[in-house]
Amino acid sequence: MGLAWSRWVEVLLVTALCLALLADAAEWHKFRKCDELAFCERHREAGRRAADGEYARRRGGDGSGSFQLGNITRWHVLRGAPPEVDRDGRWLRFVVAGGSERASQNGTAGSVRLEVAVAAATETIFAVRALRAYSVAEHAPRRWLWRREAPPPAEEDRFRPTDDVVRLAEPPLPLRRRGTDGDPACAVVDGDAESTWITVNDRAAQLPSYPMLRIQHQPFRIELYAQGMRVARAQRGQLTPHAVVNARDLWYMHPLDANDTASASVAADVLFPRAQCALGLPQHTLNLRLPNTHNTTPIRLYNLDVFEYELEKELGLYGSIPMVMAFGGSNDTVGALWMPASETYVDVRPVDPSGRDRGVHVHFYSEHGVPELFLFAGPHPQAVARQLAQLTGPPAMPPLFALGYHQSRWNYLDESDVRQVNAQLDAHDIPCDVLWLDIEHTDAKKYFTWDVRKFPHPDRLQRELATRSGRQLVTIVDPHIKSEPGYSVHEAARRHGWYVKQADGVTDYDGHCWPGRSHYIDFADAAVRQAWASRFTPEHYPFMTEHLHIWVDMNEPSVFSGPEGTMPKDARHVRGRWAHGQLHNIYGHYMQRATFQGLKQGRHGRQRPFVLSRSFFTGTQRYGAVWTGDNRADWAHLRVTVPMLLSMGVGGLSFVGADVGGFFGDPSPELLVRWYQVAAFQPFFRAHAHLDTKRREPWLFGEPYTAAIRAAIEERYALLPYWYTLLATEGGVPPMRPLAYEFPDDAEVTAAQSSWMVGAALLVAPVMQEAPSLHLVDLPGDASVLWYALGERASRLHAGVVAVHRGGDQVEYAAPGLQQTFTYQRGGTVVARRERRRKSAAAAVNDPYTLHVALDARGGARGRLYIDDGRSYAYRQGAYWLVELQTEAPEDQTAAAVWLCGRRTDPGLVTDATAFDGAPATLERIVVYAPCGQRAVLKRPNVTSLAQPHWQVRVALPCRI
Amino acid sequence: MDREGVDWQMGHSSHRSGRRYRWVGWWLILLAILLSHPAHAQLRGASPEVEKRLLAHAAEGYFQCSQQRLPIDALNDDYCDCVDGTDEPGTAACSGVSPHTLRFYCSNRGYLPELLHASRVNDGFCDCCDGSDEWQRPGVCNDTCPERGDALRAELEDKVGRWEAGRQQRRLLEQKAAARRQRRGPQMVREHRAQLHIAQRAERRLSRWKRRLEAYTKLLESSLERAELTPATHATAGMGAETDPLSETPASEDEHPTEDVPSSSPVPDELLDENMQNELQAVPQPSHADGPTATERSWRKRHAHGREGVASAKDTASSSPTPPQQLESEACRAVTLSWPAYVIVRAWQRVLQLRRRDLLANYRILRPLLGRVRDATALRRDASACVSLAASEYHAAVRQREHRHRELEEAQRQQTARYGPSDAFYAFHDEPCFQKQVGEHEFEVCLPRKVTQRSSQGGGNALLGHFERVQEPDAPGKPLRMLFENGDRCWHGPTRHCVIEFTCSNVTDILHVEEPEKCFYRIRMSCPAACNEQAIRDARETLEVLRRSRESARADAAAWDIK
Repeated sequence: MGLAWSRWVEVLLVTALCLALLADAAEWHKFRKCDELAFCERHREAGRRAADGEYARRRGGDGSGSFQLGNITRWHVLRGAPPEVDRDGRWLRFVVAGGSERASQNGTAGSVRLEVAVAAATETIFAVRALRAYSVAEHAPRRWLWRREAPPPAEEDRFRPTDDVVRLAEPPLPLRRRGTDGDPACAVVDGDAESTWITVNDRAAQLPSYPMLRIQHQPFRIELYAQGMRVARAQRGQLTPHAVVNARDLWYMHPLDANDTASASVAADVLFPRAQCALGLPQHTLNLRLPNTHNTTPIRLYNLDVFEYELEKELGLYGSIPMVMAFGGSNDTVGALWMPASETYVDVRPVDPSGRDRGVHVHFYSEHGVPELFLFAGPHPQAVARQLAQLTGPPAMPPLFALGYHQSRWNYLDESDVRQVNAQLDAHDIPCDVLWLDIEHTDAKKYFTWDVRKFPHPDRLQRELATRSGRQLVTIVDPHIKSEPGYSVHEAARRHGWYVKQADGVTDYDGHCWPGRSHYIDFADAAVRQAWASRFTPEHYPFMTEHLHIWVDMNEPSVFSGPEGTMPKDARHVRGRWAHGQLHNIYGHYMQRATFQGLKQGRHGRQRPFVLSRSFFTGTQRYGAVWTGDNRADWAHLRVTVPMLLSMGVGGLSFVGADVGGFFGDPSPELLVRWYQVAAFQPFFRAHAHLDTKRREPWLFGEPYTAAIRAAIEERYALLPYWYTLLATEGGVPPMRPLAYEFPDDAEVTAAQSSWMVGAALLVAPVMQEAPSLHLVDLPGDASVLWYALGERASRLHAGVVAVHRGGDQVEYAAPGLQQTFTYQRGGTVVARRERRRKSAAAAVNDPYTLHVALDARGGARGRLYIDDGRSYAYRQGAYWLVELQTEAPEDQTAAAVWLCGRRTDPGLVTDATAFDGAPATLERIVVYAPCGQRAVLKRPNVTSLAQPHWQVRVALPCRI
Repeated sequence: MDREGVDWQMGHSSHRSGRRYRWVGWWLILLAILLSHPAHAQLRGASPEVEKRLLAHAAEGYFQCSQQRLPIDALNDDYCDCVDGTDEPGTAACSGVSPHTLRFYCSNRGYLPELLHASRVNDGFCDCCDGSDEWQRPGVCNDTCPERGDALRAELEDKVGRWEAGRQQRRLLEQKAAARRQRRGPQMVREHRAQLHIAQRAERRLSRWKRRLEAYTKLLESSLERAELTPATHATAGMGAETDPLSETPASEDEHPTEDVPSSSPVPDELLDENMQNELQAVPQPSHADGPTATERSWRKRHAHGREGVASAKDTASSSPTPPQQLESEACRAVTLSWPAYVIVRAWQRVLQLRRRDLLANYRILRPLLGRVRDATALRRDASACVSLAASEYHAAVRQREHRHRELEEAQRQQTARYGPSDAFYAFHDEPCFQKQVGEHEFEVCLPRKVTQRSSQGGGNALLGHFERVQEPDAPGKPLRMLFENGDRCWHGPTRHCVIEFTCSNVTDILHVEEPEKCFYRIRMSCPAACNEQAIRDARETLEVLRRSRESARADAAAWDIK
């Protein structure tokens, strides 16, 4: 009986825990808010006042009345201390002095010194960094308010991710003070008693950004957590009970590390005077155009495992990139990237809430770190995107298969199940490139192992998939390692000290996750990353073949038993050197990086790795794909994929996607079809589902659903050459991009998130509502932009009539059918496609191309096509073809015809026409969309290979341009 | 067909057939036979029927596709000319263009012919066993048809053997099922109906007993109140002079007697006695009547498990000595009370863990004891215990009746339900269940009733579903399925359900169990009841096709050798 009771209690406890985790975790109230954090609340208040003052000044008043800086030090350039250029000419250093208003009343103004350095990383990227702050307290009177508090940590005690994140190809430019004529880059540091601003570059003389740096190093309030149950607030040394913690607080209750007081927090205010709105700051579920957070809560950037997340909340999600694009049209768009990797909040506030006046104030504040800000001079949105990629590295070129369709589920049970799914895909003629195995494939959630009862011969399975269908397999690896004696990874990690440590810096930290009690690999340590990378060989990962790729999940890190479901901030990294709170947001990034390195090494650098990660940070695009985590099968979650992925794109992530169908819950067949139609035009295209859901593979719903899903996937495969070209040649501008990237001066579409662009050529405006009676499509651009509606696929291959619309048009479609998709090709573009259905991307490499040429009003069109072997790094040595495609008007202006020319612009290293898998890159047909609303098709043009150095073809049109 | 010699892929025109060139034509024929792997299909990738259709107007130089009439050169020219994609049986050019796109026909000599999706043609992966789908790269694919053909033949022959045996057994099963339907089925329905009647009667009696006791207690209450006011009345048998509730007829039960209505005469002893006896024996009797059935046992077990109170009460009732045989009318009150009081004493005794022989089990000991019950509190307590006992007995009887009702319904359902195409599964009602251990779970299939899952680590059984229906295969090659619905509810999920897919064999066995999605189980079983003539005929036909295909492959090989 006693035993039974204890069992019951156990069951109940587990139930309660699971309920808490499963059902309620995404509830907004479970997570920490800004006003529950001393540093956050304080910075927020200061930021608001600063902004208020700014607005007051801009309104023409002197601002002094409302310019209440309170306890925050405001900096100004110290008189008599002209900026200096440092020895190697890279950084411009200067000292500013500051003091609070209160301090200035006390006669202590200027009693704090701050060394600031500004550097031009390139002509358009500037770094601003606060070097050192110190007080000149010896001159201060005894009434100095907060002298008893601990000094802020020195810079060497602050975690600085910059060196890991920033990957500048070229050396930084020398920077001079203004006045030295002819310098390509210079910075003007100017200021008055109230503020300091730095104007960078001649170009940037109009650059509408001037950052104000603010370092808060004199805390007036710290929070103490006493006895684990009470929150007390120390104010000026007095300890007063603040609140009794209620049950929900236990979720994140954790004593703060004594060293991590708010004194380490850092902040930066950036005012973008000419910005219309701000975009970016992934990851959140807010609109693409960031909302005014003045009266709500700041946007939180803190990587958390928030499954079934709520929408339109300023909730921290799986990843963080503190990158803001201040959108100001084609000439005034700039960006700012904030570096710290600790818990960060961002306030966004338009200067004029009514929206008449331009100007956006962005306030970053982080719990810890080095205050470092990069500014991107733009001025076009795409330029900002390229500058970000220039700074933090271009996106990893994915292997071709990764752009195909991925079929996943938690979980395909065993080898026969995987084979069954594979066979069904083939039987229903549904193209697919990758099958996935979630955590259940392992032996008791021990990663790098297989459950041999279910997967006795996984190597055979991988080879079979690859040789029969060209398909790949992806398995999951999480950062938590089961604490079980005899488990090789655990043994090695314990022996070599690869685990994150507890606050004492010695004991291995442990927390609960899928396998139960687990330890966490310390990815912040470069040596551990190296060790981790070495595990991706068949020696350490049995049955691993070259057809196996990796998915890293739960890397926020997710800890079921931890505060807010993650690791406590006082856990220690790198042999006790860093507190977890200092580098929390970059942990997942490091894991993906180590895994990427591992796959690369394991394949001797011959194969481009594919690694999917859930958590991310600035620069993660260099290591593979990211998805939006555990969403839900409903229409709102379908719709939110668009702003989420677009925002991630603003943060520099190119290869992003959301689980098709929604992770939790069972989608209706209609929702599933629509989701496929949406996701087929998003970069990372994977269907995935929770363990508790019903099976939903594309063939399970019968007609017309299966046909509609197949058509969506097929359209994706047809466009693979285009997607691949975009990823290879766009220099970091994400392939899935907001309309504002292409039409920055069309104010109507700045905030559009029901449609998006794939590259410059395709507009996607899918149905994202249940059985709409009306589907409206707003076509961007001015009336000179032509949009050709791409109709049904079969008709596209034959001459006929095509619907042409103009920019600014609103097109109405009554009750769109299930199969109906809404994609438009922009006039003036050429898109290369492969129109033959194949079972995988690998099966299409020999197929000829079809060029879809959409003419603009004057008969012009351009595009490009990039081809390489689809899997290796040989392209870095120039082994690729890049064909520039362009139309030319015929000599005889009256003729109803157009010339299409192709010109190879690559280094020309691959001259053998069959260099890539024997694929000669032949041309099957050219489809020309003419402004008169006719589609002309040229069957088998007389071009032996697209990769000829130069070729041209004349296409007769049914009407004159 | 005068165009055998033409290999369309090779672009030879077929229009010239003058006598002068006849020898060239013959050479071409020979060449084409040797080069085009599927010897009978000159139009690559076209099955004989498709070929016939497409080449119907070849002499006129065109072919027909949907509404278009296209020149014959457009056939298999690696460009999709037809809007409906029907001009390229031998290439992938029309792959995915329309649902009507032609499939690629592999003759697979030595094995079975196969129709592939056009997407498989020249995609770099060998799909046909003869490799003809990769005709652009000859030599890339090995011809594995003979080996596959041999393997398939061996497999089919083995299968056909087992299927034949299975078919024999199925006949036996069908006979058994038919017999059972005729005899056992109706009999069971009758039995269940009888049981239901008994249970209904017991329920009615207990209901009457309960209401009488309630009425009596009420009476007792009021008497006691009066007695407390006037202790003298209590000492005498005045209470007995009140209306005796036991004498009421069911019709008048609703009128609650009050103390103000004096009763003219006490109940006759015999009547009381008989009533009492009936009441007492009604409950336990039926279960002993013809030996406890399995359901009866489980019912009891369940009750013994879940409701200790009821079980002990039942125990008490069934093991109690015969109720008072001789009742003196002057002691009517005490005697009426004695029964519940006795039960209560027994219950106390249980509570106090006294030994049975100290239990005053003998009524003769009990009676004087009860006669001495004078304490009003004890009396009240006894009475209320008695009422609650009656209530619980009554509820148990209601449940019993409901249970019987369900059983009857189940029996009737079994009688009307069809178990498979020829009802063969019906015979399994009398067979033992089948078990299979999978990991830490043991699955038990009781054909065709239910499926359960038992955890070997303790944690109890879970019902995966009750029989719902048999789903016959909707297409050849699909298995016969048996659906089980409404199992136990999953934690945080739906009710469990299960499907069994049967393959024909001479033995019945569980082959494989899986849970493809949470709380949905798929079990593969072999069973003679799933055998059908058509499958065996098809298999024989397949064997015949295989044999012919193998022979022609051999002839080919011989021809090659001659060359």
